[in-house]
Amino acid sequence: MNLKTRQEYDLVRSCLQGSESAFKALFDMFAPTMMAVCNRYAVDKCEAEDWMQEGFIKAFNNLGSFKFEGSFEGWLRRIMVNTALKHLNKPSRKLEQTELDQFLDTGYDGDILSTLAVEEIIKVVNELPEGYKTVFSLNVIEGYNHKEISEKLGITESTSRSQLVKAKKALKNKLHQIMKLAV
Amino acid sequence: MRNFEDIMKEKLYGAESDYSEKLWGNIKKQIPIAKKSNARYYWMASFLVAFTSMIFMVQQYPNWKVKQQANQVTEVEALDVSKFILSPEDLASRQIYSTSHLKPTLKSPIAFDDKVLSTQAKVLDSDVPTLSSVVSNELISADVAFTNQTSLESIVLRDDFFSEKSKNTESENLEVASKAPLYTLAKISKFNVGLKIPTYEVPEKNKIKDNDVHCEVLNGRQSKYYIAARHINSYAFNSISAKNPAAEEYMSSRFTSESKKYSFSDEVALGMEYRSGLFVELGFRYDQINEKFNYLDPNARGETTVIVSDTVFSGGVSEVFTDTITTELSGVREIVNNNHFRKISVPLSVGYEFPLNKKVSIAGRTGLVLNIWSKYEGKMFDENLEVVSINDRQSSNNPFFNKLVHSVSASAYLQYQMNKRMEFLVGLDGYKNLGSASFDSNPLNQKHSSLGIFVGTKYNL
Repeated sequence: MNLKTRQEYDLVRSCLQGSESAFKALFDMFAPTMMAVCNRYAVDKCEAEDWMQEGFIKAFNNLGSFKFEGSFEGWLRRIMVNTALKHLNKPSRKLEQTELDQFLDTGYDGDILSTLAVEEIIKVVNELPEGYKTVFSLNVIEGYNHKEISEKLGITESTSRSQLVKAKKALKNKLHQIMKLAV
Repeated sequence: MRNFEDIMKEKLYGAESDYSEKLWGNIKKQIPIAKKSNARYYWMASFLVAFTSMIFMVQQYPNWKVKQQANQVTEVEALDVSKFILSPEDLASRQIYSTSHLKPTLKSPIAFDDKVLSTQAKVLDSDVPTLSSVVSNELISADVAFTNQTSLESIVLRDDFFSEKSKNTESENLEVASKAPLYTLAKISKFNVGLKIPTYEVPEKNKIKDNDVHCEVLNGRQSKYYIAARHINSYAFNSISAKNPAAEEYMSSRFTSESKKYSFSDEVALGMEYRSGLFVELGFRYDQINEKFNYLDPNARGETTVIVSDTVFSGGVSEVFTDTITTELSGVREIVNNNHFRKISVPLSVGYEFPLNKKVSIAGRTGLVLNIWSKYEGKMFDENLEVVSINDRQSSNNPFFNKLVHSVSASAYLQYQMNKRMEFLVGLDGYKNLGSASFDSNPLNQKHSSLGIFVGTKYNL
């Protein structure tokens, strides 16, 4: 067990005893990353903050179910993603189906892409239609496979695949334009 | 060329975003933060009372000396002068004695070289022949002068002795014009105040004759009864040992899972104090040892309910959607259980009280604490490392604990005389169990002991 994990476990144990400072320390440690997670699924910052608040409350109230196996961040991240998906699955929030034809299938230069600032990439991802953004984030960033995504979003696996393809094309297209400007 | 997805994951997985500062405030209202224990405030209050009391007593110290000195003057009046100081020069023209028809009364008896002295005595001053007067404490106490702290010299003025307040019981008022010193006390070392003073050789002519009638001089303090009440804030210590090597794992589990918390005791006792300073006490004492028992529950179940409301604006019309989602969660939960060990006992103690001065004395006592009732509530590991209720086990044929465990106790404390009846007590108190509290068949020996501070009062009957 590495030092970071041990520190996380110690904090979780202190939280289980009700220590306010431990709760605050865990929050401060993970809130910036979890905010970025929520941002990838929400339409705006306000909504992302609401979801993150809900996710932290859920996590802190159920710390007893954390089994001290693996990373606490991973456990917390899954809660955040599930919280976001729960909201996206509401009848009032239908995932947007955007047509592929809008985007040209462009190539990209991996080396130039690597040099792009994170903020620029986040901005581009956030500009994607909601359906693309969700499937892309779940698959590429969080590592869920299409079967899991289909279950989580209530869509078919083929829809998940096609949304991902469209998302990647749209992203490449937008990034290509940025890279061209940069060059 | 690196994979597009890998680059995106590398860039975005650990990405961070800003968030509103007020989020934590919202979150902390809805999470299980433990309330801060009152015990720490209780301890702080106790220490504050003890500290303030000590400061108060120290500040009073010069006053004690003044009063003490004043009383010494009176004492000299009433005592056999051959044993105590009087300036030979001042005594040359005076005789001091008491009369039988003035019954000596002990208004404020003072312990002094093992003597208790009357504060009322009759004085015959040869400068004022045929007249006599009653000298009382009140006349003298405020009119004592000190030259310095370490070498005290007291001068009592004659007009103070014979002021308007001082009336002969036979209705003779005295008028004294002279303000010359009546007599002077000898130098008293700072550290001997109230305890011992040097004696002077008194001229033969000034000694009290056999046919003089003396004030009654009592030896030591008077015996008295009192009621004492004490509240003790303490910290309990737990001593667990295995009766055999096979029980060492069990001992280790018990040792790591149990920790002591703030404890307290209350005691009320009836006491009798002898003239010598020895006292005995008999009373009732309630002890409560609080204990924390931590363990992991591997089959914990939890339930979480989240209610979410969303307002959707569509075509100028808003609609509210509400979802209630209840989820059962399972996992390992750390459980904290509070155990309480309560006892009622009869303490029987003996002690000794030693006066430091008129107001303050130091005392110590020790004795047996005979346990007459006890109850242990809560949870702990049994021999199979299963979490069981202590109550359930106590009612079985193989209980955890013996019902009664006797102890020895000891205290050291200061007493401050607030008025004629009341004394304030502050000091340290500790006790230790004489035997193991665990039942014979239990593989562990368990003894409790505690150390704490106490405050209390003593009411002289």
